[in-house]
Amino acid sequence: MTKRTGEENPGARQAAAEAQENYWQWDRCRWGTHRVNCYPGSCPFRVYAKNGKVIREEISCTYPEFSDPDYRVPDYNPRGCQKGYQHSKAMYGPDRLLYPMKRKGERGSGQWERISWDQACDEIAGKFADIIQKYGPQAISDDHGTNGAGVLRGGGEGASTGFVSRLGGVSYDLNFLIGDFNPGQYLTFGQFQQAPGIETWFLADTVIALSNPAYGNIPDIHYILEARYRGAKVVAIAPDKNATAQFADMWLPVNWSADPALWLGVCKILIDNEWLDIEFIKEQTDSPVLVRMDTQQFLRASDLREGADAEQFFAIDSATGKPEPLPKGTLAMPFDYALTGNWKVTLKDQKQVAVTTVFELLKKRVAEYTPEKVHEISGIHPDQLAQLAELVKPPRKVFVFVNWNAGKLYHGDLLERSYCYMLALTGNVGKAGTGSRGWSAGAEYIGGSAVVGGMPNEVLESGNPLLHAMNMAQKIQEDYRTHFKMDPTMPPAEAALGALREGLRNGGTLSSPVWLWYHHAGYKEVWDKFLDDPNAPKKISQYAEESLANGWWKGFARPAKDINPKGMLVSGSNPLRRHRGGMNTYLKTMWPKLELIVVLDPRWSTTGLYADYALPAASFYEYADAKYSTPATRFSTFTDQTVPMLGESRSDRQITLALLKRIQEHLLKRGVEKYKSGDREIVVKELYWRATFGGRYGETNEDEEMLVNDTYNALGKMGWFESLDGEELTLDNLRKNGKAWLSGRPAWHASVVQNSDIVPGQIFWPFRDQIEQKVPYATTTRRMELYLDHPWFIEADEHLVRYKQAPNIGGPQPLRLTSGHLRWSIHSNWVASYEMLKLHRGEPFAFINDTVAKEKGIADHDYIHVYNDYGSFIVRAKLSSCTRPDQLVIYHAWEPYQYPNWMPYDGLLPGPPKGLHFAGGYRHYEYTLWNWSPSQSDRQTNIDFEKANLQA
Amino acid sequence: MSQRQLAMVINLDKCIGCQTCTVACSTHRLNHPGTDMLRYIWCETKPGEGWPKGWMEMGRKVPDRVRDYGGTWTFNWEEVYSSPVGTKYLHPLTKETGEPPNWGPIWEEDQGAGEWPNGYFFYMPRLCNHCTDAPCIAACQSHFARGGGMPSSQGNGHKKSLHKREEDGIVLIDPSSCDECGLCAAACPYKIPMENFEAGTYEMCDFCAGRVDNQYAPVCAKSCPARAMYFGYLDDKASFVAKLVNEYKVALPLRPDFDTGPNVYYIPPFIRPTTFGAGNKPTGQADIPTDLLRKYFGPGLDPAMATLKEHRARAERGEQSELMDLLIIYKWADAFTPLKVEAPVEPIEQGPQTGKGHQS
Repeated sequence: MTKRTGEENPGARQAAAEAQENYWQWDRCRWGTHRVNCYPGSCPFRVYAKNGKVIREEISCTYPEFSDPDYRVPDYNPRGCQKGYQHSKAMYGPDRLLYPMKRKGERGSGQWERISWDQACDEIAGKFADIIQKYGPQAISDDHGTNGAGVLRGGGEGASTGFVSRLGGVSYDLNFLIGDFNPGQYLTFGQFQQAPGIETWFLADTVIALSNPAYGNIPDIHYILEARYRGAKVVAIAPDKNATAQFADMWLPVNWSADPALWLGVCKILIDNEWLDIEFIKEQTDSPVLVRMDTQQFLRASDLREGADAEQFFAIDSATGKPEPLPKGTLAMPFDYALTGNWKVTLKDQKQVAVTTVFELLKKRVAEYTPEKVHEISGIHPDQLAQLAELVKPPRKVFVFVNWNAGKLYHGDLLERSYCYMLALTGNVGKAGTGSRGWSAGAEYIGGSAVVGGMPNEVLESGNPLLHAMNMAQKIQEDYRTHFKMDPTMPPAEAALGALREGLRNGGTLSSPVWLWYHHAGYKEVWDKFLDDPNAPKKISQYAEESLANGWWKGFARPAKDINPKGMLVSGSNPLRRHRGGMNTYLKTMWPKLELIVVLDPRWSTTGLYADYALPAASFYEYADAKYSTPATRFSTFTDQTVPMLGESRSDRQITLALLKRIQEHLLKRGVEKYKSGDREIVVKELYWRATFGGRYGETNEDEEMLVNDTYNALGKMGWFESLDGEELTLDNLRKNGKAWLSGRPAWHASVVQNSDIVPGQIFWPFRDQIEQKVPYATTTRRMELYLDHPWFIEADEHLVRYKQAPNIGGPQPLRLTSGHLRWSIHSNWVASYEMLKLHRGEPFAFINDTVAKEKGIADHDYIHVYNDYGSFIVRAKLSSCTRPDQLVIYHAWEPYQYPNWMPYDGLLPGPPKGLHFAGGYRHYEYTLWNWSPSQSDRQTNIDFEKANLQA
Repeated sequence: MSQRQLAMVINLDKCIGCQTCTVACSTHRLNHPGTDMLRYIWCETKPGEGWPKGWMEMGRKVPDRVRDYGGTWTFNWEEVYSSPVGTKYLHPLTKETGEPPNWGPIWEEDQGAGEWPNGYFFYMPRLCNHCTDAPCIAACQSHFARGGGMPSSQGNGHKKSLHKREEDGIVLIDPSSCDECGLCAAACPYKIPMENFEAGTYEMCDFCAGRVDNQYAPVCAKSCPARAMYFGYLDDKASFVAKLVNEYKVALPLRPDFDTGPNVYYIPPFIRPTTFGAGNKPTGQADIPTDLLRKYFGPGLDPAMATLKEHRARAERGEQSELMDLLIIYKWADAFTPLKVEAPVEPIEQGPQTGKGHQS
């Protein structure tokens, strides 16, 4: 063998020999987790440091076993993944932002000047003050994102929303910025944040995976894989044979957006064979509700008698054959409901109309979906359809695993509603191992919301403002119906969402980003131009304008059409990457309008490189804070200060507080003592005082640690969190145990909608109240709604689910682009770290079908040019026979600066929302935080591609 | 043959290819100079050429640094962050050639084989097999016998850099006495020993011997989020590894025909979707050709598959199956007994018997 010479370094040999010895030497070991917005997260690591530098982290494997007397499930260990496992290296990586930077020359020149914090704060605050004076506070907005989802000190919700809210600016709803919504579940249940414990997936008899948890749910998927060893069957339904499909008993290679046809075909088989849970169908769903054949709307008491209740619905008493009012305050059945039949009723004007039940209409609808027709539409063979029906046949427990694909698919609502039909017919809701899922998070924000919302002066001056805020939230929850003059029979979930809606409407800060896109960022024209949907009755702009004109967005359509956004704080977010069309329409339209762009991030994002100022936010091992909890895992995980904040970085909260203080000084110096944001009056001298809870929690590390301590302590006192050891919940206790248990029913909408108690140590699933206590659902009929009688849905023939052909988005090109979460990053966090780059080919790639590639003369790893009428990008091709011939799969979220010309795949996504999602003015069809808004679609955008001649 | 033998079992029916093992190892074990592109464990997509490229058919060759390993990747972050936007994009170049890489440790992720809609793939983590009859040790010994090698700073007095520990069968390289001859890499049919060009030594997985010495499980296995990895002593009949390898015989060595007695064992992927005929009619045949699995896992494959399927059928009928419970792993720590899965908290003083892999 030849010995390589000239490269050797005697120190390296020594280091290799000593590596094992040094392994055991550290001077600090603390808890750590990664407050990226990965869901559900909750990964408790130990972090090790030596001489003030982090040397590594290790998954702690400290989750207790479940102590549920009724269910045996595997434990949560080891929770974590490869991304968290390299943060100790990434935090010192070349993309780390360490000092306040100001651009030299034009935006995007790549020339930066390091400045002091003093200069940064003073200049930025002066410019924000200019904007407030010249254009009004609503010209200021934030784009808070997902890279620092800290509850109190980090990231968007605590720091950036609080900042913008104090100033009277506009804060966009994060859930619709990213599109993590479950529209079909929302329409069916009146809520989408039902979040079963991940451990309950193990208890299903059939798991149906509609997303790709092998990529997106690395620490959770074992519950699905292990369910197979208890005898469960796993079914994957996806257009391509993705990584999850490789582990399934059955994979259904379904055609584009054809899932509704598939599920309607299954429902037909269920009904034909009477494989139904009749008791559940009658009690829990709208199946027995009467529908007028003339209007296709529900029969209401107001149809029968003048002045009667428009939300009183009817069913036929099967004993008498007469329509009787359905109880509103309970699901318990006072009489036996007829499920099928046709009747006549006399209206208040003495006109006779034919009525029938939802179930009768549903039966007719599914009868159209014969196995042959399903085969033709979906590509799924009748044999496989029959096998699928067998796998959901009662009494099998069926769990439908979804992430948030449906919110990003144009007809995602139909897709979700169609499997909800199956769940409804088979009674698969409200029992362990059944149902489906949305996301829920953040009972901790009840404390943080005190910063965002207003606090009475006397509370800020004395007493415990955090405990006060929580008691206030509790009281509003208890008195919701009287407080907001609501229907006394209203179920708790609907009341919690309603109370939140009215509170936020008056708060004057929150807006769905749909109005930013539509009015200010140039998407109104783009959506109308690049969506070709022959099945939609109206254009998107017609839906949007009608919705606004109807007053359906009162208090939530910001910035107003005539107020142009001028100043933007981008906090832990990457809008140029994230908005569909971000490097295309958004950059072209928004950037010239903005006079000030400030990015606050631990790392250089593409947006940071396009900003005026880039401010260094500290990262996860550099200050004490916690990752939000969720019912899916029911732990808040703590991350401590293992090392001092790197360089001159600061917590997000420290940065925004420092800015606020300077803005206050600038305005007072200019003689501005008060100004208005809408109806709200902002008192300038109180800006900083309010944001620091009456000066109680300032900007020092000690003050902020006290804030963390007091918040968790108050949460403990309210009974919403518990320590692991029964001791009082404090910062010291979190330091000891690394986590705390979510417990009970916190007075937070995303907790209330679980309709179940959280008991530490026991497994958890939602909708137990509905099954066990007969508590109604948060919909118009107070039942699972299989039928939607909103006039827009009737007009579009979507009152009942049907298959609708996917529209042409982006142009007439013959292929479809699909996406999903990349394995190698959480959004763009860590996507450019050396450790992660080495886990693939080091740059963005797109999967294309190997046979199609050969036909097009494309070899593996060639660059390809992908295009449609809206945009184009260049990317490396990766060939696979698991990719559909008419498909290109590109996972997100690569940084735009990883693509030639910095044009990412998002650059060819016009992102049209579905027009029907502008529907409002009707019970749960109304926007509130995280709930019910149009958002950008991106899956199944039309494209084509060819070999690109590009040399790296 | 050592007195005792530690073994790892990897359940390919669960491995999701997430590379958490790879990264945990990198974070814990690959922090010294020259380790940028070294791996002690990595996860390949099968079927495929693997890493180094084509290792399974390489015979006694030493893999080439660029052609087979893909070279050392470097990236142009600084250039990207200091140039006008849109002009320079982040991409890898190979240090050795200055060209874009065309191979790497995880080059073939999710590509697999077959023809749409019957494409298929599965994942296979690879690491040192800590063979019972390790050919690398014999090769090293012959090199020393011919006057090669260097004096060991570990004072072991043995005439080789590679040895197998008596008390647990771990195969170790002593970096201080390795003179980079490469005979170990040539001898190893799995192409595991890898050259650290900067240190001038060969390196490879040592089952985290230092952790084992302190009763902690190897960091890759204990960190597996898919819960696909097990570790323990083969002579401990109660250990999960012993039950899977010796009692149920469902965990199999990779390429047993290489005849080295590997002590990493794989449970084959046995729950798979079917292939399709015309009109997407399901055939009922699993998508991975059994011949491929037989090639990888040898004659033990068919009985192992039969046992696995039979026990799963029991579970489907609601009957108890200890084997299925072993695959579920209700309590994660149980898969590593008697070693600990919790992360250490207090630093550990290194005595002469720990951390250096004492000699047999």
